[in-house]
Amino acid sequence: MNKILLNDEEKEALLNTGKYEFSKDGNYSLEFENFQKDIFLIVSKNTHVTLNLLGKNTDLSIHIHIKENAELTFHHLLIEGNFHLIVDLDGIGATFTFNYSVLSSQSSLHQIIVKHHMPKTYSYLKNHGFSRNHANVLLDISSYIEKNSDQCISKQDNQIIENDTSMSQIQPNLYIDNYDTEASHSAYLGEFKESDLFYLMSRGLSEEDSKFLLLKSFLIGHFELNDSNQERYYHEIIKYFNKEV
Amino acid sequence: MDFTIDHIYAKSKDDKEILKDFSLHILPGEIHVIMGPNGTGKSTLSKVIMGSKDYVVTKGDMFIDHESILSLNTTERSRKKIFLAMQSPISIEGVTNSEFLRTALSSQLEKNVGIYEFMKEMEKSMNDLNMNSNMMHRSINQGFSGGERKKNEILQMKILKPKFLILDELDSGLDVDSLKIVCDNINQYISENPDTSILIITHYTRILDYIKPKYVHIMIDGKIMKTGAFSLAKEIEEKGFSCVNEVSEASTHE
Repeated sequence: MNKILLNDEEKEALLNTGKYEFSKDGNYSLEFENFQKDIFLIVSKNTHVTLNLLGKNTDLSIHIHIKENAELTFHHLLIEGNFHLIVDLDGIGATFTFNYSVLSSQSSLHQIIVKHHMPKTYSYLKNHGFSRNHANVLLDISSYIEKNSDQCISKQDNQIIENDTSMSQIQPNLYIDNYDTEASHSAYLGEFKESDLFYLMSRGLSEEDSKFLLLKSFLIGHFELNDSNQERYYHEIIKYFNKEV
Repeated sequence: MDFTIDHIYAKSKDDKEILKDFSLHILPGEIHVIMGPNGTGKSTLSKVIMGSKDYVVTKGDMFIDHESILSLNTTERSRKKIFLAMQSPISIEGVTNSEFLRTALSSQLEKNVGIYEFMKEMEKSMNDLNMNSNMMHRSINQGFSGGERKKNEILQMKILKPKFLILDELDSGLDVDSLKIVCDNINQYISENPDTSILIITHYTRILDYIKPKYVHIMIDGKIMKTGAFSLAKEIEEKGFSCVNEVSEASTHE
């Protein structure tokens, strides 16, 4: 079941050619299951787009170009699979905000590359991984700022929570060839914080329920979804863990 | 609720002994206060009572209504109706106050609490605390001011209805008006639930102007050094903790 909340023409174009250009402001939702595809997207000049992508058992490779003063906010929840993303910030003032979460019970690779080709471009990547059944999750995150790209802002916040011991890794890379730049990255790999668990359990929640609430928060708490998408994504997480609502 | 701590020794994960032969007995409906200088183990005490994994009890015991709770985990202690209003409540993005509290209440009552009756009670309680009702739909403590977080703790207390209440530095972060509202709510709760025992942990006597304790204990270096009536708190306020040179064995009414 591949659900694409674009109109029929747009849907056909994306599925057939793997290409789509966002030329109107809007909120777009995509769902893929058991799907592999190379997808090429463009966000046109001065266009503001929010893209919500729910993937289940997918291996997607997405290449996005963001043009001058265009803005893309991309929320992606991946339940099992691999993901490869390249984003080219092609125009002055191009903005990219990426909120990514992956649930993985098998070894998987998640490679995100953002290239600041122009001045005054912005990227903020929040990548969250949850590893279970000893799965090795690799977050390989790279941000590039080129020599002539002045006054860029590039931020990364990468976290992996391990449910069991694993050899998961975070590779946060900042390749900066410009002095007039603001850049930062953070990485956390480990379990849920004991203080958070203690707080929830001190209100009577079981350890299992407390961890589940924290997991929900970890996976979609940083997404800015409308109520129906929030419920949709939460429902998929519950289904994945075979939990009763 | 009858609460007893019997000659407890507790140490942190890094093997530092913090509670040293600490004893306390609170009878149903009594209000006790623990005061003490920074780093003396007051907040540790509250976490040890609540069963935090950050600390290990090496000796002694703790009882609720004469039943040991030492082997119970934090969830089980909460379900025994112990409630800790924390000094620095955490925030959790993406989990709403109402979702969290309804889950907590359902867990405590071991039945699914109906959404209508829950929302009605929550709205009333938030109104009592002068909290904006849209806060119930916001993530737990996310973007809340220090005062709002403290009010949120008392909101949880009102919904979960504990029988033993620990207030750890409740007055920190609260302005005068908010402190009065919060204390009025606690006093109202006490009048409706007169068997509720309360342990107040504080540096200052400000909160004691609103909630009157029966006993004041001075804690220094992991144990109670002196116990007295409310006047002891005023004496500490005037003279500081250095005036405590008289060592009494645990709580005097024990």
